[in-house]
Amino acid sequence: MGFLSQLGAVFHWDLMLIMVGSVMFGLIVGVLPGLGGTIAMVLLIPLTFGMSPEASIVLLLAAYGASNFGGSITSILINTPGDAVNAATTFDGYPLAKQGKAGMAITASMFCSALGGLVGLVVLDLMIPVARKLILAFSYPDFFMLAVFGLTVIAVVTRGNTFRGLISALFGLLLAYVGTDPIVGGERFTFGVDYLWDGIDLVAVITGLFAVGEAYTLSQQKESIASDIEVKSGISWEGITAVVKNYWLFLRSCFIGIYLGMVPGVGGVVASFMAYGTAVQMSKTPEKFGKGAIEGVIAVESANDAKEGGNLLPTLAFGIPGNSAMAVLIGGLMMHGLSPGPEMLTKNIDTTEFLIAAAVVGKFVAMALGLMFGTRLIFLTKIRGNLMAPGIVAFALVAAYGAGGKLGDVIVAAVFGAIGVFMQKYGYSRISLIIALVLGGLLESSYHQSMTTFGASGFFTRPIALTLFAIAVFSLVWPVVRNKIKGEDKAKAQGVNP
Amino acid sequence: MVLKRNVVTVLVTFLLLVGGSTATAAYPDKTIEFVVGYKPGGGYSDWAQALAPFIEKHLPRKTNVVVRHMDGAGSAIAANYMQKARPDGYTIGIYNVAGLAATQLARKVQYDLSKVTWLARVSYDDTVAVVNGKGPYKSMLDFKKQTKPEYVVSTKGLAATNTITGAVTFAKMGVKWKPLNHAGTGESVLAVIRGDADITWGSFESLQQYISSGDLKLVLYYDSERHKEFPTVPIPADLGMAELNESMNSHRLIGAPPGLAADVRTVLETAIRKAVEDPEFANAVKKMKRTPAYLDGKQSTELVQNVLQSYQTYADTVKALLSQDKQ
Repeated sequence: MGFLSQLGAVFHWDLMLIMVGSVMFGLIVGVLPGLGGTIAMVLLIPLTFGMSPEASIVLLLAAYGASNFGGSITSILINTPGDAVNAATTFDGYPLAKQGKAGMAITASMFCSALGGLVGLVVLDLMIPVARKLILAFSYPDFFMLAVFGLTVIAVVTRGNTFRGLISALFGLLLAYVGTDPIVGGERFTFGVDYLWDGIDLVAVITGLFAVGEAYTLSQQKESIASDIEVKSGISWEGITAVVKNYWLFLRSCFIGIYLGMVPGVGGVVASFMAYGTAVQMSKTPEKFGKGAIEGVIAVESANDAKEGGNLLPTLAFGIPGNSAMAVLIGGLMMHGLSPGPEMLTKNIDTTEFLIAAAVVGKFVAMALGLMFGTRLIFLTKIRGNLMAPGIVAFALVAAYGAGGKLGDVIVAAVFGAIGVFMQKYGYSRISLIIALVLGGLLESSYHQSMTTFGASGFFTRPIALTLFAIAVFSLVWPVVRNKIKGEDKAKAQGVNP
Repeated sequence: MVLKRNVVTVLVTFLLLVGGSTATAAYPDKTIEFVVGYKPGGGYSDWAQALAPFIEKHLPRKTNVVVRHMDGAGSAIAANYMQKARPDGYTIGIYNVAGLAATQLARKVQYDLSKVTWLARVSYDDTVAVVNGKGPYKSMLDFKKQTKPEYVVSTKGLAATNTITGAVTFAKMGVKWKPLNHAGTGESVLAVIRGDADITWGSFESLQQYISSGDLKLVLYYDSERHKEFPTVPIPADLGMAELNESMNSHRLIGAPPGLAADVRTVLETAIRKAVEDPEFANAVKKMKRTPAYLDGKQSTELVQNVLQSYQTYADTVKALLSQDKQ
């Protein structure tokens, strides 16, 4: 834990001042519709020109780390994710807000984000000696099986309504294949529209399905989001105890985040969805998910921040960015003469340790500020529904526009708003659609990559791929077996005591 | 009555004409939009952001130059937008000429690079071929041995410029290969480091850090001269492919919509040239570890014609490449 020795260097009054300012900025960018950590860093890079390398690291990482916190607040309160990585927070965060438990959800979210971030960074620190070997251990068949495993979640979240769940998932897969195909790079299902070349934007679909759809429901009622329920503002101890109680879920989600963060190309969005999916699959009460299970929020938020530790690993070990935000960070570091790559683990190890220490402190400053301000916004859930609805629609459409600055995204959000209203009305699963949309691309590209490099046998000869495949099969079969065992037990019990 | 109406028409027309010409003389009198076809954070965005304040400084009235990101479809969306924009000098853009030339050849697009009003080239980037730093390949000639039925080439998509460079090179060398496609540079580099792919093509700027760390090894450098730091690494001419020396390198050009008036063009060209020559700008670019390589409007236009010509020459290879899945 070499970073502990660098903590002293971070606790300098001037660096801490930069840290607090930067965290505030990150939180605001996170709350702003459609903007996330990458944009926060891009906006700050010009400020680093005149700074020392240490101050630049603090400025960039603190803002990046804090943006996740801000994004989850809007996901919980008004069903609109600030960025794609916060999308899965809406699944249970918003239903909790509807039950008057927004305070609990926000507190739990802030708490797991900070702790998750800490776990991710500590694991990063411990993995430094083996970083390079570890990253090279994962290849395409493993990613493919990961996507397959992720898709099995759909079976669990749609239990009781499997047929409609599958239709929703197939619709999601269909949407995932719109755009540029990963083989030839040609257009596919684009109907001659340039906008569709890059595929359908996830943030736009989610804001449409969830926020616009919800606003419609709200506009039909005179009550507030959390109707007839006494809503408490401020920090909720319940939120903290929920995390402590679910420590195993928390740790598991952290490791999912770190693992997926480590692999360039899989992406943070997949990490949060996989953590959510695993939480549903391993829960004793999977039926509660999507209806306000605090476990859903804990899983997503802890994976989201723990993945940053994972993201930093290929960035530091190879100079290969784990995602677009890391690409921006690398650019920022290079301007100060630091070149991410193997030297960061040997010659510049002190800088690496300083970077980890700064990120850790940043997480806790973000938690403190997030709890202080985020929980004050809960009053939003007490405003009458038909007054809130137009605000949510406006916010959601701005979010869709803000993410990419494209009018097409606004149209997609509006169209999916209408689709969302009908899906909700007729009992189709919006979560299945989103999971399929997120994983469809990974499934397709990793399939082709596996076939090119390993051939079909690659799927079943690599230990990591095989393990993931076994887990996928198990998660599909186990509920059936469990029900059978339960049924037999019941029958036996009835046989003994007729 | 008719006469009166005619007089009014003539007067109005005259006033409009005078007004129009004064507007040109007064150029620029409002904000200039500088379009970038990529997201913030990449090379094109960095160049545009760095240049904008200096173009502003050297324009006659120091008019604002605002960078607008319009990412998507490998910058084709921005190129289409530029094609349709009014040629009034208030919209300029930075172009990835090689990438757009390939797209123009492969897909139906609205833009036409041969019609764009070219103002300057600000930088260019050499293409390189790299292999695993510790792998079995010592030089480009090793691939001629064809020790495998097909070598695996790691790519950023088949239509990417660097993939086309690789395809043309291997076609000329008679090497059989198959693509391993990825979404970004990071993933495609990792595939070579991991040993899943044998070789990859990319820009020197984006790969130099991996070459200097020893993870990747440079085996071919596309330029008319060998790189000073790698004197033993051949250029295409050394392997009997002199025509590939420079024709497929990526160039960053600034252009305006087709049909820009000559006087406005001169104003813009001068401002961009002065901006690139500004010592303060040179300092800023140096900090970003980038090197400017200026060409004026006329030279840029010739360059674009050459690039389009060379892509046309290899059209068969490109088309064969893009129809691979149908074979």
